[in-house]
Amino acid sequence: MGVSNWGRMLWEAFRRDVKIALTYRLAFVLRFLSTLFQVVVFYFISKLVTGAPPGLEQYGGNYFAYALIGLAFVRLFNISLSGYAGAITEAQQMGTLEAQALLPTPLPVLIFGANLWPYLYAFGETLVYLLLGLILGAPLAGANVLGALVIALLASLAISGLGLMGAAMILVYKRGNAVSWIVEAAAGLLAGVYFPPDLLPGPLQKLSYLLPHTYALAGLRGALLNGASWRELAPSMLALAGFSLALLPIGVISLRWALGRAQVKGNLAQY
Amino acid sequence: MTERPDAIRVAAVAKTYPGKPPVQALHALSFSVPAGEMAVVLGPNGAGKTTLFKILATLLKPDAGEAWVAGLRLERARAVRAQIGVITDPDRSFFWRLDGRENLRFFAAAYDLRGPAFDNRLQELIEALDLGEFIARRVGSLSSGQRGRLALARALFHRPTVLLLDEPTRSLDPAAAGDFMRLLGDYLEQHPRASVLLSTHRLGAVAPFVRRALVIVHGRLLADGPPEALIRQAGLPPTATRTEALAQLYAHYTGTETEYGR
Repeated sequence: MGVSNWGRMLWEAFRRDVKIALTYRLAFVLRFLSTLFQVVVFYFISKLVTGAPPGLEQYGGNYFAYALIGLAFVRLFNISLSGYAGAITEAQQMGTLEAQALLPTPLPVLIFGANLWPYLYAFGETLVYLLLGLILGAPLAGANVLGALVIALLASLAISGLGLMGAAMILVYKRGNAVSWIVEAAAGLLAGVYFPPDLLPGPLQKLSYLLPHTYALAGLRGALLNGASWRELAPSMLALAGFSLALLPIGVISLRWALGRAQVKGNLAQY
Repeated sequence: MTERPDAIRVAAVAKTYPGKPPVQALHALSFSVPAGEMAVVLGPNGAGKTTLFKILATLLKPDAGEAWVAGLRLERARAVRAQIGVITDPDRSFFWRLDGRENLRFFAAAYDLRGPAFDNRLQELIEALDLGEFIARRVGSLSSGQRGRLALARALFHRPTVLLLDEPTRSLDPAAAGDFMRLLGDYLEQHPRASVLLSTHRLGAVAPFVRRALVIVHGRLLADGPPEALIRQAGLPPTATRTEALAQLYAHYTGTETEYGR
């Protein structure tokens, strides 16, 4: 029941969540349809964007391809950002958080385990986005897929640091995950999900450099749309590695502190 | 007669919930439960029973005092959790979209019970607790009584040495509560070193099984010992049954009557 059992419990949490998800079959279909509709909507919006607007030159002025990468990966990033807090809230509402806290496995391991299925699901959605984009003409043929995977992994780690801080916040305040709210809103506005940060006024552009999303999306677009080499991707990777090293320890410490506080206040299961 | 080691030892444990105003839930509580014994905690709602159970289950940190469960200090939380079986909220502590077997599989894995070890133990408990008719059904579709039995199966699955059962019969009808206690009694017969601390208001159901009662009111331990001895100490008239003894004690210390009268 030591550390060697943690891997087993991660697998059991993943297996459990797959089984639960399979009992909601309609939700699968609806989420797939929403992905399909979103890609098609942006495909037609991109028809309005002609010429080579600022920030799109390096992608051949192709707004559809630009937006596709933002849409495809932002859901994956949001699992890192909001998934841990979401797993806690769901377990509190179902009444299973305290039952899991009674197990010899540390609760943070089980919270991480509860995010594995959402990660895999979001990764599958990302692939569906890219496949649909490919069908609709996005230039993904010469992509550096491995480079993109490494960037997505580093971005997930870096954003997980923020997500763990959000999970700590949920344990303390129960509702109102300000970390997720602020970062998600800021990423949507500043990080280049829907439009290039180059369009923003100077001060806002500078703010965008504080978000790991900005480096992740720039790197992913380089890897997937331009087939950027490892050398070209290195700045994005280094920035994301730096964010990971800074944010993950803060996130882990925050979560441990919040769990200890909940043990003092006796409100672990309250929401 | 050799002295048995304590399964639970509580020394001057106190707990105040922070807030405005702070709520003092336990006042320097001290008692012990020897190995192999079943003790019932009696007290009205808000007496501090759940706080005590949560502290012993390592869910809550006391402000002062020390406590040992299965010979382990509570600070060794993970080691303590490996030795205890707990029921806190039988109705809302399962994954309702999964069946009983899948639920037990998840929780048992935390104790390294998997493969044939899991299957064998599950079969034992299916027979002992009569889970066969509903183990393959989604927990959300089970009755409260069935979920109560499933909660007992989960608590017993890893053969714990100490059982902490906080109102396990809360949502059960009298017949189901009686069945629950009989199943628990069977487990104790088969595992004579196992100890149980439970709280309940169903005095009739627990009376045949408990040797010891602890009465907690407003966070203070007012009585601790065999029910009949406590009756004598309190100067109360002798009772014909243990159920009556527990009811008398409850009424005497809380000033309220039970369904069994005063």
